[in-house]
Amino acid sequence: MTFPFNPSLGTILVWAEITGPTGKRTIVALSLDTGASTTSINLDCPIRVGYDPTLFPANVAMTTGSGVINVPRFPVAELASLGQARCNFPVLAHTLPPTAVVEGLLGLDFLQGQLLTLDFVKGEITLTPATGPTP
Amino acid sequence: MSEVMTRSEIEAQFPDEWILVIDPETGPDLRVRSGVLAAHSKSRDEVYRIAIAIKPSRSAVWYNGNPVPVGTALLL
Repeated sequence: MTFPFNPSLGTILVWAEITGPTGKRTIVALSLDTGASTTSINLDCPIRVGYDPTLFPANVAMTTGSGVINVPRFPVAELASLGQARCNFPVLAHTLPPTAVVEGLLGLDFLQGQLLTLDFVKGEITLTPATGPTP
Repeated sequence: MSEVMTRSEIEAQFPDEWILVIDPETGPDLRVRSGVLAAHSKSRDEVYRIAIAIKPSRSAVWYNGNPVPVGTALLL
């Protein structure tokens, strides 16, 4: 399935839906980031869909451009984006500054085992399951 | 504020603001097509506070503006 994106924005905005433990859902704009090993979302997102942040200790060491910080990991009931959904998908909760204007990063863990095509001429993203063996 | 608005209407009225919509209608790309405008603010924290307070079963939050304005850079 192919989705449009604006190649002139300076970041690749994609839309994602996060489902919480009781079925509450929220739609957020994420930045597609192949430099991020792990998908991350602002802490308010899991709270919005019903997670209690006090149940998830900040025990994941996350390396950022400005240092290493410890953040919690939430196993969201479902994360959907680019026509695909992942159940019980672990995401890091890390609140980006408001000037980032996205609510998180769609990282490599969401793309694993898929064929990602970014067409900056047409402004199209395609994410499809790979047909052959993957490493 | 309980009127259903289209995304175009919302974005025309509230540029450079954070938007909270509840019961959004979306397309296959999950981009909001329309919904009930529940909050808008220059302050992201204010929109977050309202989103958590009203506990919607389905919501959408986004920033209605240029993610990388002229004279800025984004490195996440």
